[in-house]
Amino acid sequence: MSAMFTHVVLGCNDPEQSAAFYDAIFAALGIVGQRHEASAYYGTPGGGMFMINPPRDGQPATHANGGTIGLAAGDEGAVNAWHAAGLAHGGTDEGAPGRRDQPYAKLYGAYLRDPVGNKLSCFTTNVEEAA
Amino acid sequence: MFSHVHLGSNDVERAKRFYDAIMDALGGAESWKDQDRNRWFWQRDDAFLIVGEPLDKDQAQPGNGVTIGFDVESPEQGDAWHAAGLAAGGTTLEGAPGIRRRGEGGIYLAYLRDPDGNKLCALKLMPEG
Repeated sequence: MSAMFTHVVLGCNDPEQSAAFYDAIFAALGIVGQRHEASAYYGTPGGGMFMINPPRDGQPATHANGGTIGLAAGDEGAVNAWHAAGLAHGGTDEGAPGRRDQPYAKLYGAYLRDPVGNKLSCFTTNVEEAA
Repeated sequence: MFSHVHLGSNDVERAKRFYDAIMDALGGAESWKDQDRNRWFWQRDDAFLIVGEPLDKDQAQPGNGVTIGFDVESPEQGDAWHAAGLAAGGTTLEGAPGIRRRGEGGIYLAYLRDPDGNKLCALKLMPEG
């Protein structure tokens, strides 16, 4: 069976500002970006791609209400590093790192908004149980 | 890379019918409702699509510049995904589904907006030649 998602594109209004933010948060997850004109790309075609572009319609990029893009992290340390990197590079806090268990999984995650206001989260299922 | 994508809806049961239709065209996905919050989950492998009301209870609103890409196995499956979405309340955009040449290879792309205006696409990287 194919994967669920191939890619996600989010809009940006200041490509340098948004790329600096995404360079930092993806570096925390071990993912290196590439730039092409006003676009930045992260990931690989086979493993999921994330892109930022100015909107094609020429209108300002806006964030959704009710929309969140969830990124996967390998462990709690990566979630913490992701959140700190975002705050240090123009992002705003939307939820500090911590346990956020769901009925279907034990989860550790955090939330940020990017410079446009797009809501992001970063979760790991590799949670550390107290001894 | 992606653990999940959450999309906002102003009519969650309408969205449920739309996403059931496009997921069925992709071969199906396990689906369940979060009873604590008015939202539906679909799972494939380790990734979740979640569609529901915004946490702030304000109107759900698509973002400009935002597109969520779904993996399809073939152009035929992409065409079926697109047709299923149109029949379930979606609208088409960005031209007709088909293969667009990019350098040496091609990319099959089909675009839909869901009934709440969220922009989606189906994508398949085509072999060279």
